[in-house]
Amino acid sequence: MLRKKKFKSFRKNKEALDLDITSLLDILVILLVFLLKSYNASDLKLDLVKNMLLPQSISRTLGNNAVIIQVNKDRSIWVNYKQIGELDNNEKVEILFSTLTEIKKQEKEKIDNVRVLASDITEQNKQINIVLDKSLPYKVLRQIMHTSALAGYPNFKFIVEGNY
Amino acid sequence: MRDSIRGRKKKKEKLNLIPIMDAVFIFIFFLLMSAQFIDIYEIESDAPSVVTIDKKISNDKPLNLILEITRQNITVKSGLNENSIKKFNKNSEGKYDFDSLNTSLTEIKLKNIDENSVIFRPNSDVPYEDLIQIMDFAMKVKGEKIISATNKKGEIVKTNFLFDKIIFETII
Repeated sequence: MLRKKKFKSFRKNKEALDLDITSLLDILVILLVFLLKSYNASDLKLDLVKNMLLPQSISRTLGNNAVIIQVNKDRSIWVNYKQIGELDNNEKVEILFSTLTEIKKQEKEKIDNVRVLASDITEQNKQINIVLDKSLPYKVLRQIMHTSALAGYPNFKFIVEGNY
Repeated sequence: MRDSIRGRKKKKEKLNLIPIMDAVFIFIFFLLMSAQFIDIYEIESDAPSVVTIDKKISNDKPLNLILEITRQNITVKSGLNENSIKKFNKNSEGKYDFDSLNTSLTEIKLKNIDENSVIFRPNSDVPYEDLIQIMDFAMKVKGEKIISATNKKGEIVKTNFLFDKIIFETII
């Protein structure tokens, strides 16, 4: 009898346990608004290398996924996040040219394997995303554009930071 | 008796928030994955290329708009003989006069509403940051205002773009 009573009181206590999730909901809603504001529909995902400051622009054209060349303040070159070397003074940057030619070759092999929508892939294959530090002179940009065009990438996309 | 019925009815009105919370939680993960904390955009430019055009060759003189950029000034040139139209020197703060450049380019656009190409001819030492700013002011009308003019076919063209096809000279 006594045991039954104890059990009953325990069950009553269990029923009374009701979590108040109002504050959690508030946080989630605030987080949701913040994340919705920072949502970017672009398919270009970019991780900047060290010593890199992007120039600001009023452009609102979203980027596309393509080969990414990054040149930082120290004139080191990255292709698709892999450091390949440093810029020299020649108009045609040999190390960049050989890397881009290799990528082009691999992409061509991929297109040959995937025959569907090959025309779309070919068009996208001419694009190159150029990410330069804002303090670099035009000479660097010219070297990059010249080498990219020679390697079969004549559509340049200058990646910039949006300013408001 | 009535009070107890009312009380029961009130209890039934409690909303079940669990499904919506689940959805919101999943949505947050999705947004966290796709969030980019720097707003990244692009400006397009193509390498100059030689193309064969099937169209009838026009007798009209080409605009051939050129922006010659040095660290000190920007010179706007036009025509096959590259006649200098205007020169914009840097001000006392060491900045280009972008507003005047934009106004001048808007005037040129109004006279040549069908044109959308501009050739950039910068010096080797011009900073990349300055070039991007010049591109901004050469591509769009200030304040995104819509301008309208009559083209050669007699049609009224409305646009807020100036010369959005930027070509860099001396690439290849």
